[in-house]
Amino acid sequence: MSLLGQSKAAAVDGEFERLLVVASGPVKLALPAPIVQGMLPLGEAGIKDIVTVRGNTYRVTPLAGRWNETPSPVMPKTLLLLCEYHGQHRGFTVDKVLGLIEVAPRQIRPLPSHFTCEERTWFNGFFLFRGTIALWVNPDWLLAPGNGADAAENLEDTSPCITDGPCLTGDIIELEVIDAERAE
Amino acid sequence: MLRGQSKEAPKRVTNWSLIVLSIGGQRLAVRTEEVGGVRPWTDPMPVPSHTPFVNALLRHDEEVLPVYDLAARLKQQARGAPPLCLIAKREDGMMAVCIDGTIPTLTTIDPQTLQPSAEPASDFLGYCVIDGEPVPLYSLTKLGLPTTIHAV
Repeated sequence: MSLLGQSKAAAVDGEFERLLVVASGPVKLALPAPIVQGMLPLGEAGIKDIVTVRGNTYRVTPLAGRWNETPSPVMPKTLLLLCEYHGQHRGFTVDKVLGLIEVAPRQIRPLPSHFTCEERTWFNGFFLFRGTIALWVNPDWLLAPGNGADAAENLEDTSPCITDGPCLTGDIIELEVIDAERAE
Repeated sequence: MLRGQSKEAPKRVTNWSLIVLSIGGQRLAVRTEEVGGVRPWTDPMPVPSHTPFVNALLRHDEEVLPVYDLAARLKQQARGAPPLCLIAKREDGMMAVCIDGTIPTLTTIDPQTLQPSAEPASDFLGYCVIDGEPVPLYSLTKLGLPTTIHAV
């Protein structure tokens, strides 16, 4: 069953968060599905600083870079997530998409109080996912506007750029094609 | 008279029951009552974090515990295949600590024999002598908690 169908059902009872779970290095991260406009296999294009797709310009960074972690090397299967939130457009590279999942609020647990620093802002909580754990990324922080050199709207001084082209637009993966599953 | 007797009664010293374990071959001791259990270590899920030495979650069925990386703090690496998981009863909730695969041992000490240390960590209680050697004693209830500085 497609996400499109399940999202209609979820909208009736309003019980589920729809999250896209991705792997960034050893970390499993869940992004709110509504902010992900699509995915783009990088293929041979490699990572670019700026991508323009369907008229929207996205500054691209590795998702791991948001935590100052060392990103994984770019592989042929590296994916670019095209995100939009409150008018901010950002692209994040991830190693792999693990799936689309519907999580009931009662299944989402807060980060333990032992975590006391910025990570409390980075994550809204976590949930059990396929024998491990996925961290629910806070979109307010992930796509926070204009507070640094990598701000979404700060597009000056960017050299490498890829734009819409037949090969790129043809490769965009819409979330609707991914089957959603329910959390444990 | 009871009042007089109580004055003369000698103070009873209660020995502490300790668990002696090792991390990277380095022995250390913790109080038995502060240990929630010992079980095989399983792969934790890293969590990007700026909290010192708290950077992973460990899942055991439905239970999820934050991991305190005591080995990194001691500049050691837990040995054993697999290493063991020590459950620490920290005052704000249980934590998992990776220790060597060597089975921990039990012992008792007289707390008055503890040798204090100048180390300012709130979770370091001092050194106790076990088998003729000084072994650092840690408080798991305060593990990794910042040292409280009292204003004078």
